[in-house]
This record gives sequence, structure tokens and C-alpha cells, in this order.
Amino acid sequence: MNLPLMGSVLGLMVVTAAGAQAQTLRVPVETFTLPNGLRVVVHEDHAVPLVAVNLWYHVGSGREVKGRSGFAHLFEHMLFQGSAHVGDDQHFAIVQEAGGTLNGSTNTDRTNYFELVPANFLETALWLESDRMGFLLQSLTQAKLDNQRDVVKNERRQNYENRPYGMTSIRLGELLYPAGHPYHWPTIGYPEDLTAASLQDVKDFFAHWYNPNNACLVVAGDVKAAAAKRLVTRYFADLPAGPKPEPLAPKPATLEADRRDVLEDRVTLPQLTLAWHTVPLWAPDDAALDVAAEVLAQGKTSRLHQRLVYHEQSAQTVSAFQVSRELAGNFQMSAQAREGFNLTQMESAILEEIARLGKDGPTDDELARAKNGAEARSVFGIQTVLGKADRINSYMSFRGRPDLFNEELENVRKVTAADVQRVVRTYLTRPRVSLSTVPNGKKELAAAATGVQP
Amino acid sequence: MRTVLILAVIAALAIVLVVFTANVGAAPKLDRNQRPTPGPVPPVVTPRIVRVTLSNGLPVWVVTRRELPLVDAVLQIRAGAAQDGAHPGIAAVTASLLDEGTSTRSSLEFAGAVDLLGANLSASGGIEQTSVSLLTLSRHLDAALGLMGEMVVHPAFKADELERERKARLQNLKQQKDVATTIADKVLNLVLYGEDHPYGHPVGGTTASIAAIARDDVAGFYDRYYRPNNAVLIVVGDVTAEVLAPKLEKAFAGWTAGTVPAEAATAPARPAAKPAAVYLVDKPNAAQSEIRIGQPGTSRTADPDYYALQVLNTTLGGQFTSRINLNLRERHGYTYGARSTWAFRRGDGPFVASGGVFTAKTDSSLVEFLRELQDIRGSRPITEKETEFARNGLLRGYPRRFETPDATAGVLAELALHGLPDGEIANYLAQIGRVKPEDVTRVAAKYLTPDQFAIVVVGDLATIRPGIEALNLGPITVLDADGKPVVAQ
Repeated sequence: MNLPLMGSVLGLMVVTAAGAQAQTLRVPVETFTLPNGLRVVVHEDHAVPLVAVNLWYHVGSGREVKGRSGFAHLFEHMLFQGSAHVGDDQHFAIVQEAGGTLNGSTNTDRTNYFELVPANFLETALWLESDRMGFLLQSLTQAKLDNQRDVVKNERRQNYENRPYGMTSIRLGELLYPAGHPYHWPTIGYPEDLTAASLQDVKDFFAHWYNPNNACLVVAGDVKAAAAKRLVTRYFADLPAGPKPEPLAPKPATLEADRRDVLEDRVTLPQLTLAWHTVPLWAPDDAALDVAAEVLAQGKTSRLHQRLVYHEQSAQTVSAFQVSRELAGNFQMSAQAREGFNLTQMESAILEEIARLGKDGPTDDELARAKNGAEARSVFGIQTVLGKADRINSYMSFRGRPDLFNEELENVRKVTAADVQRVVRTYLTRPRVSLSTVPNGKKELAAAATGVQP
Repeated sequence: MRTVLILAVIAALAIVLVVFTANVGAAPKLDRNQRPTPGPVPPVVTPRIVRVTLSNGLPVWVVTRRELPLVDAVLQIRAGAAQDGAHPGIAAVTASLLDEGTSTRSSLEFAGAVDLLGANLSASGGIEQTSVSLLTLSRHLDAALGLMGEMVVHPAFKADELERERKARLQNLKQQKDVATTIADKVLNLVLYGEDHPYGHPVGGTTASIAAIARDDVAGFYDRYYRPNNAVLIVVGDVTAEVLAPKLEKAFAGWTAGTVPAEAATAPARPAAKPAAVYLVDKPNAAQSEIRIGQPGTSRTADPDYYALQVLNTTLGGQFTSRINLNLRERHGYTYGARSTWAFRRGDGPFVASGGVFTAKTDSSLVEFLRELQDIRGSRPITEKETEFARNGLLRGYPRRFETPDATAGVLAELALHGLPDGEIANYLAQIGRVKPEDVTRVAAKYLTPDQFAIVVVGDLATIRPGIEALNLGPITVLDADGKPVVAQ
């Protein structure tokens, strides 16, 4: 029997199964599809008079063609430059004068756009989103493209080139995925490709990917579902469908042998980054790999933190995480060696702990901590309507269903010690990338290959 | 991957349970040239703050919110880096050590207990306050509050944990010299306030001060400031004051009131005005230059100009559509984002305009920053339209500050820190609504004085120095990453 803890006026229902500790997450939604193929999800949450509008286009840097890396993200910037009925530079201004916030982001798999506005400005937000979905090109100019190209190059300088260890993630992708794989090149792009992007590229990309039938819209917050449906229909129904984008099948990658590389950077401490090919988002072993990451190197009580940071005091930081993406996944671990210690020691210790976890599995305590943490985070993570909307959109875009909150949590709850042991043995014994990022001129600090086997 | 610049100021509180009906009647034919008219403004309901005082004197403010089965609690202690005195960094170190072992649990045992609840529990030292923050599922509330009380009332401050903390912090202080943004922030504070001023030194201390901190210094700092009569506990979430009070009596039992040094509640003096000057820090081959232009601003507590300054900053550099960002990013493409902020403290916290700019455009960027800072003082004053735009955004954006328990607690903590009355919540809206263009121009001319700007640039000096020299902005001093003068070879 389920006991509702709160009334249905509230956005999220958390019900407690009698006799058990576990809570069930339910985010009630209404879903419909417009004739032009736009999928729409509405979630009512009347706690605060705010509404989130969250729009995903199922296109990311993985869809880019050779010589145009970074284009999906550069294109995202163009969507903030005004559209036919909105006016140049007005998109930001209208949302900010409404007291709202807005942004967009691009990753390998998708591009999202979102606004959080006072509830009485929902129609304004839908007008803005529909105008740039339908009427972007009419107001496009070379000057706008040139300006945003400069802005994006500055974004690259700020977040990659000028940031300590900032180039590591770019190099890691190049080492882990073969040339031609959609995850080989960085979402931020290469500078020469950004330079090469033309107005015609913008037009072609828009025509190919930015169509209602390649998008999913979530409206979440203080609005009645019927009203939201009426407004969405009003602003989006007359936008024409485009070509149906060809779906991408999962594209697992493999390494034939270990790949070792050294990157020099303006840093004080050397950092080791290891990566293995694993499984994509929502694959059966995804959750067990999350638990393995937590046991190995997330938080103070994790094995490698205890060993390297707490007891040996040889590392400044350690971390581990499963990177779950649409087409392929990988598992990354990283450690910074303190002065007087080296990356060879870091790599040996990491491999030893992987071997030990593969041999003995996690303890009951470790498993309980990982599961309780996942449960708490699943509630903490839905405190904002924008946070909920983005997760609903992720579920819709990658699984075609809106309310997988509980399934996602259940996937972690179901993980057994044997599962963790199995995924560690299966995936973390594969050939790996070992990338050392060392202070300029100190290649001797790079991790040397050792006999330690996971 | 875009920057959203949001106003770095929070001030008030509302909880609203209103069902909004969208403003749609019988739909006429859609004309996309017509921007939709917003529906009626949802009414703002001020929250009920229930106050209780524990038997040890700890004031507790409670706001009950039932949307989710979680509770957010923030214990704010009135002591931070401004109270570091002879030991820069001691407030931060003391806060860090609270959960590194208690009278009954080792550091790792304590961390394990927190993780088993899935709770977030941590302490951090700020500039004028130390915060111990808890976020927990409500069903673990008793255990989580128990742990929170344990770290606050019974920290062990073991010598080996202090050594561990010291080692990590010394290493981190070295690493901070890799980060241009951190260097720029630290150097600006130092040149604005000087190292002896409570706001002049880094919150995390210096290599020398961290190396010198002794266990007794930490215990002494704790004894002086960690007192229930020098703190407030703010709880927002799925619990009432009635249910909470006995739990808190238990969790904070044994914590006793004490005599807190008077300076903990006193505003630091404003530093003496200095003429405009340029400070450069070399970062060879840097792809960008980090620019900071600042001067001491004003205080939150005493200044009636606070509201006009909100409108000023919203227009100047407080959000994406501000003059500074539209100029440097959207017009010139020099940067990924540029902004301005005011740190409203008990004393006069800094005003800072900042951004990372393309190395080759460093001098041009300085010109544009300074143009915007100068123009808004009178030669290109804020317009009626800009004023209305800023006021609208501030007023309409008000409910966003209270979307989550954590955000709400943050707003209350601000009220508590500055001793502002509950009425400030409504007063803020009323005051912002009354700000006129001439008010904004007056405060811009009063608080932005270019002949006293400190200008800090961290970048590739071989490339950028000639261009900066040619601007004649003031005497140039080259500093190292610690803000110490570099002696010419």
C-alpha cells in the first residue's frame, strides 16, 4: 500500500511503501504530440509561481561533419541573436525584463534551450522559443555569426586553453575514440573549424536539425496542463515538419591495447587521467558502474580517497565517474599527485584498488552508502522546476518516455555486490587510456607503464 | 555552454501557493509580431518565519515548506575571515576541521555516518560568517541533526587532522597560482584593502599563515566565536518549529553561551582612498587576460543607496543584457562574458568589474570597461527605459529567490547577518519600485570614482604590457601571484 505524503497540488509525489524505507518518486505529466511531430510534456508544480520552458533538439556535436567541429555549439549561440519577429538582441532582453533566467547548452548528443520565468510570462517564453524554431534564418547576418564566432573562441580560451588541465578532456576524447567516431572531437570545436564555419553552414544545419519533429518541449511549473497545451499548440502547431533525422545506432568503441600519452600544461601538480570503454546511457550495467565509481573514488569514505588522500597523503585529489552518453560510455578516473609523489604511484594504486574491488566486491556498508546517496540525490535534484524539466526531457529524448525518475533510482537500488564485482572485472580490465598531464618541461613526471594489472 | 549573468545579490523572501491561470481566452489568429501580453501578476505572499530560542540561547528561524520530503538547515556563525586577526585563514581552517573527527568519532567514521544518510553536511568559512549546511531527507532528520550538532558542539581538533588539513591547504595554495581568475581576485583584494584590513587577505590564508597555525589557535578561535549567542540556525523544509525544537535541544545540548569579542559585530573601517593605479601579474603565454577593476563600495547594513545600486548594477554589469557585457561580448567579441558585482558587507565590500578577455584585445577591453564605468556616471546616464527595464527584472524575478529551501535559507541568512528586520522583504520591493533614473546617476557618480580605481590584469605581459602602458591609466606595478612587488632584474 502506498501512502501519499502530500496533496496532488504539489509537483512531485513521494510515496512511502509501507513497511519499507524506500520512497517512490512520481512526477505526474501529460504528454502529447503535435501533428508536425513536436513532442510535448507538461508537468504541473504550483509550489512557486514560476514556469520552466525546456526545449531539446536531438542534435549535438556527435552529428558534426569533418572540418566543422564545434558547429553544433556555435549554432546554439546563434539562437540567442534574435529571430524574425523578436528582433536583434531581444531574446535575452525580453526574458530578463520578465524577471526570468535563460540559457542553452550543447553536448555530444543534444542541444537544449531553457527559460525560467514568472508564471504569467509563460506565453512570452513560448512565443520566443517558437519564433527561433520557425523563423531564425530571416534575421541571420554575417556580422552576427562573426561576433559569436569570436565569443565562442573566447569561451574556448576561458574554459580550455587558459584553464589548468583544461586541454586534458579534449586530448582524452581523441585518444579514447578513433578518428571518425562522433565522440572523437570536442564539443567546443577546434579553432580552425570555428573559423571555417559559414553562413551557409548555419542555414543547412538549421534546415536539417532544427525541426519540430527533432525536438521535445517540456513545460513545468505553475500552469494548468490544459492551458499549457492550448498555448503550446497556438505557437508551435503551424511550424512545418522537416526531414526526419536518421537515428544513430549505439556506436561502441574499443581499444586494441593501452594508449599512453603525455600532455604538458601550465600546472603545478601532475595529473593522471585513466579511461576505459564501458556502456552507453541506460544500458543494463550503467548503474553498477556508477556504484563502482562511488566505491572507488567519490567522497571521503571511498577507497582511493582513504588510501591516497587520507592515509598516504600522496594525492591532492582523486575522482571516478561513469560517463553515460547516448552512443557509447566510458569510465574515467583521475588523481593529482602531490609534490614528492609521482603519477606511476597513482596509476599503480588505482589499478590495485580496481583489482581488489573486482576480487572481493564492495562491502555491505559501501553498497548502502551508494544507494542511500543516490536516493537522496534523486530528491535533492528535483527541487527546481527547471531541474525537473531537463530530466524529463532527457528521458523523452533518449528513451521516449517522460517519467523515468523512479526507474532511474530503481536501477541503482537493484545493484548487487556481485554486479559491482562483475562490471569492474568486465570493463576496468580492458585496455585503457592513460593520460598524464604534467607541468611544462617535466615529461619525466608522466606515469610509466608498470606490471600492475587490474 | 553560455554564461548567464545573474544579479549577485539576494534580499528577501516569499512563499507563494497560488494557482495561476494562463491568460488565454478565445484565441484570435496568431500574429507573431505581437509580443504576448503577460497575464496578471501572481500575488506575492510573505512567508511565515517562526522563531524559537533554544535553552542555550541559540536563535532558530523556521519556515515550513512541504513540497518535498527534505529539510535544509544552515547554522550561521558570526565569524569569518574578517575575524582572522593575526592568523589569516584560521576561520576557514576551523570550519574545515569541524567534521574531521569529533569527541566520539574519527574523521572517516563521521564521513561514513553522513554518507549512510545520503545527506549533504559541510562547513565553510566565509568572509563575515561561517556556515554549517545540512540537506537531508526528512526521514533522516533526527540522525542528520545529531551529526550536525556533534560537529558543531564536539569537534576534536586532533593534531594529526590539523596536519592533514595544513598539508592539503599548502598544496592548494600553490595550485591557486595556476589559476588566473584566482590570482586576479586575490591581488585585487590585497591592493584595495591592504593585508592588515579584515577584507584584505584571502579567506584561505597565505602560505606563511597556514604554515604557522597551531592547534591552540584553532581551539581558541572556536572558543571565542562558536557560541550559540553568536549564531543563528535557519531551517527551511518539511518540518515545523514545534517538532524541531526538542530535536535541536538534543542535538545542540552542551553548547554554551560565551562572551564574544565585540569586533565580531562591528563593521571594519573603510580603507583610505588611493589614486588610480595599475597592477600587472605575469602569466606567460596566457590565452586570455583576466581583468579586475575595483574600489571599495559600500555596506549593506547602513546605506539607503542600496536599492538604487541594485538598479545601477543591473544596468551596468549585473546580467547578460547589461552595458558592460553587451559592449565587450556582443558588440566587440572580446570576451565570453564580462560583469560587475558589489559585495555588500557589514563594512564597505568591494565593487568589481571583471572579465577574461582575448590577450590581443586586452588594452581595447580596458578602454571599453572604463568607458562604461565612466559613462554611466553622467555623460551617458541611465535612461528612463533602462531604469524601467532593470526595475521590472528585479521585481518580477523576486519569486525565483525562494524556489528551493536552500535558496530561501540563503535569503534569511542574509537578513540575519545584517540584522535586518523581516519587513525588509516587503521594503525591498517597495524601494526598488521607487528608484528613478536620477537616483541611479547620483549613486553612480558617488560610488564609481575612476580616479580611485585599482586595475588588475593577469596575463601575458610580454604581449599586453605595451598596450596597457600606452593607455596612461596610472602608475604601473608588477606583482607576483601573491601580490608582492616583483623586483626588476
